[in-house]
Amino acid sequence: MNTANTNPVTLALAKGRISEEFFAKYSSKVKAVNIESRKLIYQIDHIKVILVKPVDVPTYVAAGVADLGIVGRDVILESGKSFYELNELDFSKCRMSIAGFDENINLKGSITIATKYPNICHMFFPNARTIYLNGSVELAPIMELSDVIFDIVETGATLKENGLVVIKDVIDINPVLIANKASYKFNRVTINEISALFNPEEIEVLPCTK
Amino acid sequence: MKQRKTGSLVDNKKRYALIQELTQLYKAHGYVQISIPIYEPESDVKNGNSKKSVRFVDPTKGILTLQNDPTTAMMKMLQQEKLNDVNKFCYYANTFGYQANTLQEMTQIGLEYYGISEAASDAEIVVLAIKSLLRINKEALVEVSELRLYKAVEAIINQMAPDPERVRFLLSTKNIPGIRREMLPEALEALLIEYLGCTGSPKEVIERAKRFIENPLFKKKNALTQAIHYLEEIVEIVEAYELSSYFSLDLTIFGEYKYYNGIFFKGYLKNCPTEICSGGRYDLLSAEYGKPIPACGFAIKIDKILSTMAVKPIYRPNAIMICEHKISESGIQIAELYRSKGFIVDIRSYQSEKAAIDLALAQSVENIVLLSDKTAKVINLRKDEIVKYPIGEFKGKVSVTFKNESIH
Repeated sequence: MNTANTNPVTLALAKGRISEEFFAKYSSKVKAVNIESRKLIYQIDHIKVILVKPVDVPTYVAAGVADLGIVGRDVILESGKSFYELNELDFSKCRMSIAGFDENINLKGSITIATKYPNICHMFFPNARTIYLNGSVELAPIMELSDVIFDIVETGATLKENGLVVIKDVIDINPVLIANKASYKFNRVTINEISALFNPEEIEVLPCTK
Repeated sequence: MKQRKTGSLVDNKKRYALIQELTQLYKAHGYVQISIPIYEPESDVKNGNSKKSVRFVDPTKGILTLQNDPTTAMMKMLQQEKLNDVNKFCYYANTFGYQANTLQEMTQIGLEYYGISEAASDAEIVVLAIKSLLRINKEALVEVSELRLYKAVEAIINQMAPDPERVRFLLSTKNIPGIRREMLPEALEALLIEYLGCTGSPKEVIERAKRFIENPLFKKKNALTQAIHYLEEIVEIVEAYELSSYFSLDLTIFGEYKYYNGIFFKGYLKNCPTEICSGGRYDLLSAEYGKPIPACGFAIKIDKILSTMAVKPIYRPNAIMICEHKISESGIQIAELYRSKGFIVDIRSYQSEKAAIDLALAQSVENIVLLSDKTAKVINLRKDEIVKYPIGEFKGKVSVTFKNESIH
């Protein structure tokens, strides 16, 4: 990456699919990085990239340890923390949906929803009883632990294999470039330039002078 | 940045030294220090967040609330005293509230400028906010907004957006892709994206804002022109103080409290992950307690500073530590002479110069005087200056030195 301003910034990148697709998609803009290694810190020009678990990205950015973060919107919403959301990256797209057996279930009623995302679930379904599960959420309606599930759906293959259907798509999810609000104040030019790398026309709509 | 535990004796000393330093700054600008009540009747708290406030029951006074907004407490006192003139007050107060279901005690320091509504008074509080931050860290920034412009944009959002709350959220997070995805009317989308560009160095933002308010969606252009002109005046005054490099505009920011009605600002320190200072104009708040009184001010969250970053050393002004290998009559007389002239004097015996300096640093003392039979060595820790005097000359100097003068 080459940007005119040289203020050093730290970017927390969600490890796994997002980091892999990030390095693949922006290989022309990012110098070759050997993502097969177990290294967690990479220096790319004046940007220090740290690879962290997706769920930890909001923590690093909120604490100001990282100025920027790239992580799925699901993780940002679930964290409940507030950031500037400067850009959205055009890969790893999916959606969060309600799935179950009964397509006609009243989602506004007092249903029970099993999910890995209780905070987001409460945002969209405040009347529902939420059961937090750490994985294999699809099991919950099968075992009659819940009426439906609220989870990320990519291809829908896992749902189909377990006899579940999507009842309602709730929100689209893709990786988001977030910034710590205070860091942004001091590194506005650098951060906007980095943001523009993902979407070049953005630099025209965010004229920055300080 | 490391999260640090607050509440230790060291932090308490730093907290108090910082409060003293900032209070002195405010007093130097004509602000009078007052105290803030630690609790109030719940019925008097009109702008508090009931979920955050800490309430308790007194058999005779009914339901009381621990202090969580000194600004409203001061406004109430002002109304009770029926003060109509221009008044400038500063304070520090402990505030109480629940955060994540845990009771938090926080110290805040702030100032309030009552009785006048003009750009000069707003500029003065912005200048003092910048000066306050610079006392803590030299990399500071105060970012100012004008809520008349924000409210005009908000009115258009409420009128045109299918989901105004969501659009306001997207605006607050500077989420341009999100705004584009909302399928808003084209004119509104263009307005919001142009609005998000109203951020950066003051002069350029002012020019951008002048073009922005020409957008045909704005109905009351005169009021917005006045608001921009008001900002321009503030910018000029801040420039006159030569503080422009610590000052920027972001016309999209707005306050948590609805009582702000003119300028609104937030203050940041480099490497501190959140804002540590916020303030602005709130002419409407006083009407809740009686007669409307123009008002502006700000508050600094002391604990946020202490818990997240190293504060540069703060020295108690006019504080002297007199050190002798063995405390003598001559040392006591010098200490008494300094005290009579308004200095704070601590007299100690010492083993080594290094130990004396460490002790003085720990006590946030600005000057150390190392006395011997023949000489007086004066060390100013803030300026990092050392001057050695023959003892006779030093005693002569003490007799004519006054508070607020260098003892060198």
